[in-house]
Amino acid sequence: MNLVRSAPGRPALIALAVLLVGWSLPFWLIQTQFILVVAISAAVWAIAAQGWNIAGGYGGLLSFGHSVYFGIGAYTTALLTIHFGLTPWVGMLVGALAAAIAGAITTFPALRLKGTYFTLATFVLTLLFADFATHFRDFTGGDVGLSIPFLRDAPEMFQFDSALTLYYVVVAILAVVTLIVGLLAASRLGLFLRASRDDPDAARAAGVDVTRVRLVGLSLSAAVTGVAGGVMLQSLRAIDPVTGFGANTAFVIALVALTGGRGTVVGPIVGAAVLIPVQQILSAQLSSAPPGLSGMAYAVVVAAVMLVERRGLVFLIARLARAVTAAVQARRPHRPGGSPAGGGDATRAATVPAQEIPEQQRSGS
Amino acid sequence: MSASRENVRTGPDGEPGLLRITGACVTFGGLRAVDDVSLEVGSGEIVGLVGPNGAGKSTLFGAIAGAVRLSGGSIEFAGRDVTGHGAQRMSTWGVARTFQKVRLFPTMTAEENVLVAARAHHRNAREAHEAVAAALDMAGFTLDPATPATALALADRKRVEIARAVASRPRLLLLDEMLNGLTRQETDALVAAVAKLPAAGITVMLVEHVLHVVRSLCDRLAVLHHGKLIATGDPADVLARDEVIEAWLGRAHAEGAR
Amino acid sequence: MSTLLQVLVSGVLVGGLYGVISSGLSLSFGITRIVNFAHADFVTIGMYLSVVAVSALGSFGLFLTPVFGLAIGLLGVLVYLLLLRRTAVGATTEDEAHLPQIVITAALGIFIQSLLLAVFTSTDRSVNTVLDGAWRVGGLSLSKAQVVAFVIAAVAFAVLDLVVNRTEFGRGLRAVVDDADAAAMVGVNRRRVFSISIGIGVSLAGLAGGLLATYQTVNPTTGFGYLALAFVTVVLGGLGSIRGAFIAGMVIGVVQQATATYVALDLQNQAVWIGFLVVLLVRPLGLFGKRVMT
Repeated sequence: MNLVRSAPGRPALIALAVLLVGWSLPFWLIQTQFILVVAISAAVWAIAAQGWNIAGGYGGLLSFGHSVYFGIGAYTTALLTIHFGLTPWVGMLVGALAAAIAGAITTFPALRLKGTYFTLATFVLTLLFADFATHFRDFTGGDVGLSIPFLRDAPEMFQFDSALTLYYVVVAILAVVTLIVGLLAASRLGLFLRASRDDPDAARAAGVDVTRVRLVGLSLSAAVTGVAGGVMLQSLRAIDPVTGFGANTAFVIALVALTGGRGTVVGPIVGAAVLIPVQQILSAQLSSAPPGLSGMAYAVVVAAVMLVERRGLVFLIARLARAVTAAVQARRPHRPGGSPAGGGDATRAATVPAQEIPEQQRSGS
Repeated sequence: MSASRENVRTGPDGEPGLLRITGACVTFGGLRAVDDVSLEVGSGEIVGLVGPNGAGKSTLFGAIAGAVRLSGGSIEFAGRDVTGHGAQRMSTWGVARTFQKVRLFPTMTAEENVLVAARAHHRNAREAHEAVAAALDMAGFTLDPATPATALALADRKRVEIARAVASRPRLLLLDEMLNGLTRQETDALVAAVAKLPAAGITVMLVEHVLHVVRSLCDRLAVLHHGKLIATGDPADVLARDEVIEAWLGRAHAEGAR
Repeated sequence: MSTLLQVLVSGVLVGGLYGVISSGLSLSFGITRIVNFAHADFVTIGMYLSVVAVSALGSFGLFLTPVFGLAIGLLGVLVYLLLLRRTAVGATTEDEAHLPQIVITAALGIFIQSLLLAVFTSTDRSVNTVLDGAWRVGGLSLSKAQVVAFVIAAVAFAVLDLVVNRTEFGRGLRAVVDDADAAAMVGVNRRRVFSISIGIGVSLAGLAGGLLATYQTVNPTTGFGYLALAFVTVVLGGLGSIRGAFIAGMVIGVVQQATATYVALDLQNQAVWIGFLVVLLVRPLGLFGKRVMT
């Protein structure tokens, strides 16, 4: 049940689990076409939130404007398809590159601005992009946005014979992205990102090039979220300023990662698996639910998670699992060998309530 | 990084020239925290930086470590002018430090804290992990390395911080009040560990208030008062001077007697 | 020339309301360090309350606006006490302390918008009052509603300014802005000060909303549209400075009107966003900012 810590080999296991669970869902959970569409959407948002997690979770750069990269990925892919007939498989990678460049540029404010200011700056930046995407309509299609041609069953153009195939493709991409983010988190860069987040001065004193680490981290983060934008485009076959760059997109990306558990490999997936269905199954546009219900439920879930366990659902699950384990063990005292070793300790280590150990009183100074 | 270290004169204990501070000044909004300080530290020395609170000791450490910008003067380290270079660059060149108030990465384990420095200074992961084990061992850290930083007691937090500094393969280690708040036993253990550093090629500067440690551990003392260097030299010699006693020791003696 | 004058006057009239919304946000941020992503949604609540009151009572309903402002303020106090108060306990870093608050206020904003959508639907609502129409002064056209709203906003700001700068209670508030720990030591009750400052901030947003409804249609996301403007205003004015926020509000009103008139109507916000990002990079503490960050 060690969801929290990342150890070598673990990312591959998690990615495999994503594939297996994703593969199995249509057999027992996804029973209607509507739920299938919701599942595709959840997987896309999970990819976007995985990207957010690199900068926001591991790096502590709390962006509320990752929609900038999402939108850039989507628009780049669309424009390349429309104007040059380029396959989205390549277009998405170009989109990711464009998003990464945008990410590298936004590192500049990330270095100058402290926490809250960076959050506000990114939020304003995405509104700026939304306004631009609306204004330069010759290029972006204005309010209406861009649509890509509908080609039934053209896998080479990232269009498939059925929504189910699309679902499997998106799940596979999510698994790959999860593997990449997991390896990244366990790598030197991941360690340095966390150090720069926890205490930039101490990180520099330990020899970490905080500027470079943030530059690389934010670029990779933007690239992954950019890929999500491209996938979203392919699943909707259209993109518009609000879907691409809007405040709602910005919020969903950040809230999915934060509700799931920032700085953990599975957090964004858990967050998307919980929030996106809540938001969409109750949506008035997509189902017969009364207007407003979806938003209220979604908000209540987010706030409730924050109030119960501010680090997110993954940590809440780990806490519950530990409580259950402890209860089981208390009932079987004759088996002390069952007490958690290694991995169990590590889980506890990472989920001990964060508290400041008071410095001893300075004496004689 | 390793190539640059070839340029450095490595001589017997006390050979001058590893660190040369010339006319260093640091001003904070009109206040001169460090005022025209010139000081040389040789390879293999243990130099104590002493003086009353607010004398500018931590500020001078910050300046050497590249965290505080000089407003005047220059710093030469290992034969190169390092004036104006930042903390990360200084770390790369071989200056490591601890902080007056211990600063561990709060979301990491003890081991990960040290690993940050090790991975910044070692070519591959395996070497880095070996360096972590060696550094924790050297600092006398005996608990489970997977213990979260926030669950450690003060003495262990200090040990981890020293291990983190050592894991960055420093030539010069700056220890800022490492004994503050420790028991006698913990103090003795850390002092023994620090005494072995020169043999491992690490020159040490330390800010310390505990008199018997200063006296026994340091090869040389530098006394700061109101940002100015008022005395340097052999510990017993320096501690006997009138101006030093007046500036600092009077109080420390009184406190030591309590 | 008269166009320019019209731009300036309209900008200041609209900007006065931005100023009130933002000085409320600035006050509560300066004291609690909570970035309230739901702040502007209290503007929407104020607007709807005005719409309801005017529908029921006619123009007379506008006199209830201050009462609504107070009621919304009480709501803000409740929000602080129930949702925000305990989130920072035990955090090891500053970001960790503020992040749950940002997330919770963002969720609260979504909740308010959704609730209003459920009650009022997404249709634009507006009111007809005695304030419709305009006065013509010289070559200028002054919307009656905008003038009245500006005057009330200015009075509200003046009262806030007096309370903060001239009363014992305000002294406590300013002490918290300058140094929360020191203020706690001299006996300033943190919970009380925090909840009241959020209450005041939110009630100013509600009041501004009530006034705004006299010349602006409302739907559940109208207020949210002002959120980024309020953030920009607060940062430009210097986080925590209420006078700075009020002045910056009017500057932004003028910039918007000028851009809309001389450049393009749909670019009026871009000018503000770009100006904000540039200022933030050049002067991270805002145009009139004193050092309030730690």
